[in-house]
Amino acid sequence: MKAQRTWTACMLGTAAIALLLGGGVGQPRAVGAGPANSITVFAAASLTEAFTVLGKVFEERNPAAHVMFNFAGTQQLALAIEQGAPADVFASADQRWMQHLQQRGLILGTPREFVRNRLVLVIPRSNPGKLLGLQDLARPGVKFVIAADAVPAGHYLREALAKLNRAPGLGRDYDQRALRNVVSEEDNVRAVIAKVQLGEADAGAVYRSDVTSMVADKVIVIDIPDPYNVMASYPIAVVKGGNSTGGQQFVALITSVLGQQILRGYNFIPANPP
Amino acid sequence: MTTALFAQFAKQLGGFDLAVDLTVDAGSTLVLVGESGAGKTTILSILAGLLHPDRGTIRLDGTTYFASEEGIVLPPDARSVGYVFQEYALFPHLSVFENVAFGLRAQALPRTVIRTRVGEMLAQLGIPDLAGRRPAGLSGGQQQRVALARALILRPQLLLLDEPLSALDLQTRREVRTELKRLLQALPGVTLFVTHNPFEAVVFGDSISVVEQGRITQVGPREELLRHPRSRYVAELMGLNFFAGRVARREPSGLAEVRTREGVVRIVDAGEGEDVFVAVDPREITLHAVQPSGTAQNVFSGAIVQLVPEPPFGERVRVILDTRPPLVAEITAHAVQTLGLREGLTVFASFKATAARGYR
Amino acid sequence: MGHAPPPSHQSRRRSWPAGLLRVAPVIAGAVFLVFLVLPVLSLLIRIPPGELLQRLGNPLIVQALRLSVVTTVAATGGAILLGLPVAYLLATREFPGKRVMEVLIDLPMVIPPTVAGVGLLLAFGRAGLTGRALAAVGVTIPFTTVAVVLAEMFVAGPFLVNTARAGFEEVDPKYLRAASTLRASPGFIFFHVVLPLSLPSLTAGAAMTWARALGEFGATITFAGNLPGRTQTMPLAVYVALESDLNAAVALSVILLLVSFGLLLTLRSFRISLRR
Repeated sequence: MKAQRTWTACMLGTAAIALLLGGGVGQPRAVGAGPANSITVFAAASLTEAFTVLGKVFEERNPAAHVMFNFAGTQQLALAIEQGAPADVFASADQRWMQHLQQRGLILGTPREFVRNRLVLVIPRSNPGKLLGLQDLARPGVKFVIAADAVPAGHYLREALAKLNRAPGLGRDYDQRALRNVVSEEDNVRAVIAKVQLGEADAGAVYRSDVTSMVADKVIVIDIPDPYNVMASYPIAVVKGGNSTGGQQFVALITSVLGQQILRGYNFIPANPP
Repeated sequence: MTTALFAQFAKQLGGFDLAVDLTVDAGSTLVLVGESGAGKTTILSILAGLLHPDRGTIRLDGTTYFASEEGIVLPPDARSVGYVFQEYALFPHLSVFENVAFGLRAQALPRTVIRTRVGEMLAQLGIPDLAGRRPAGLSGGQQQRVALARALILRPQLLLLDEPLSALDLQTRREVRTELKRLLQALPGVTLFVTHNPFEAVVFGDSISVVEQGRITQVGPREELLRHPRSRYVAELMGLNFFAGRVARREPSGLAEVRTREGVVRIVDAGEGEDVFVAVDPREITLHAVQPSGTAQNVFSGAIVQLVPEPPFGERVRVILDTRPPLVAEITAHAVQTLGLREGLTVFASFKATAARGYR
Repeated sequence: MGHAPPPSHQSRRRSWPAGLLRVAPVIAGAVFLVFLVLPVLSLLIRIPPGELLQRLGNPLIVQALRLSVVTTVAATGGAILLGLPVAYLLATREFPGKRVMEVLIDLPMVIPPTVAGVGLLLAFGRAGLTGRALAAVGVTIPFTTVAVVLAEMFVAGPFLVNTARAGFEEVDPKYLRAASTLRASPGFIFFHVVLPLSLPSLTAGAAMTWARALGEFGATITFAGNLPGRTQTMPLAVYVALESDLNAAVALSVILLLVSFGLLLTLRSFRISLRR
């Protein structure tokens, strides 16, 4: 008798717990993003240094506010927001992923482009692959590290390589030969530049802004001429269901003259005037 | 007879120091008898090479197994030693055949040779039908034979047996005893047999070595131990009454009065010196209900502490007496009945001086 | 002696805390089970078996699966070859620095896999400690399938060494002593006595090592990189798929799950059959 009652209680308890856990699955936003004026910004990895500084500037101007950052590959951030991650602002490295979220009704208002970026080739200072220019990238045996296609930088690069097929002296199949040299597809640009820094890759493709002061003396930059380069457009927007006021305030700073100046200081290209 | 085993070594152990000096002839069996913990198994381990002494020499048939002075240390697999362990240590994952074949496989002998020799060995020990069985399903007696086969098949020059009968029940032990004795007698090499059972010692030993606390207190054929036990332990092992004392008085007739710690004993002593050992065979002691009137020079009175029937059938009984000195007598069960002996009863025990052997 | 206590309410009061104590561990166990099973169940429910089979035809998935199987088998094999002697040494001998060696062997299990990857890169990378020496012999390791095997061996190897050592230590020394009196050299004893007697533990260790290698991600992506067909193992493929096609990611996860389940089940039943 007693044992049977105990067993029933356990089963009911377990069922209750299972329901609670199961019921939690779904899209509604996660609770508990932080205290009153706390702003969570999901930003592409390439914006790490610039946004960190801008975050401090924001907090100085708004003492009650606290900005928290999550820097990662744009694609990772977008998918996380889609699954309910608590972001107030989303700064993407391409239009593709911003549109992805817009289509799912997760963006408040209209996104605006706030900076642009260019791609460059970087090689380790010791130049183990003996590259002298863009043409050497297609030489067989060169260890080329790029970002995966889902990552904005990776996608842009494939576009740029296709454009370079038209450049004189490189050849119609330049992009194919260069892509054949790819030895790894990283999931964010910072990983790419890390492998170049360590000297493991002969060459990597990153944003111009990724060649920060910390990295500059360890790598050599090879420019991709503007006609064949890709203009990466970075949109920023407020995410629905979060601290919209705070989010809008932060976006305002990013798009302000001061914000733009700071971003230019980090080798970003200022946005098209609206 | 040529000397086969010469072992002289010392090793510092936990509770005591081991010091051994052994010489054993080929074709003979030396029994190491002593209490558990006395060091007997350690001695076997050292001879097998599983342990090494701190210093000493071990030589078997001219081959040096160990010589600390010259730095010679032969590992176990290089020695011609066969070891039958106390609980046999048969490999559980191998069949009887494979167990016996193990040593031959280790020497990489051809399979046909192995099959023949194992077959012969199993037949010799009367267990040919066990070849495919696993050790786990065998009786104690069967396991023992497998262990023997496994060791003997290698034709060792030195065979070591560590309490080979102690894991068997009494019935099996009795059956196995005679067979084993016959087997060991036929072996050409040296056999060392360890036991704590004095009866087994007497049955198997051409000579017996008594081990006490790491030292060999006496070695010799069983008659020697019986007649002149050199310590209380040996005497008790042999079932003798033992006294150690000083000669207090001598008479011209040869009689001597010996004062021991527990009492006075009169013996016939031709030797010199004051310190003397005295041994009295329990069978020489006669028991009386009243004070005896005979010519026995030793008469003592005391209560019966215990009556112990002797195996195997109890027709002889040991009577333990609380006399001064304490004595153990051995009489027939019939006599016990006739005298109406029982525990607690006060009796008189007597023996002649000639029965009390004095020696030094 | 006084009167017997009044029956019902006193005994009910006393049994209530006792009943709770009996129930609590059962509930805790049930919660834990749900916690473990739910993610697995969610994956299995999400994808219909028909779609699963269809996706198995995708060359990318086939590549990743094949790569995973090949590298994990090689890594487990390598761990066994190199790890067994080490385990035997640790189980049978005392030597100065033994404790240090034990800690070093445990290290890969404790450090985050990505850190392990960085370490491997700094040690065996082209610009690493051994880079020049290896390059002189014409060998570069990062970005190759060999790097995957090395990464897996690094993180999974310690499991093998530790379980093998425990297995060896469980072998009763009396068998070793008996064997050496039967003219067996230490090598013969190892192969004919120690190994057979410790086989159940060894297979369990191999299973664990294999499972760990199969799920290895952090060290692989850092040291070997991520390239389909060459270094993109199943876990990496799942990770990449997550960023473009959730359903593909789920499909891959289910396949990986089923393969792991199958492997562990086989090894466990092999182990049980060993205990004749």
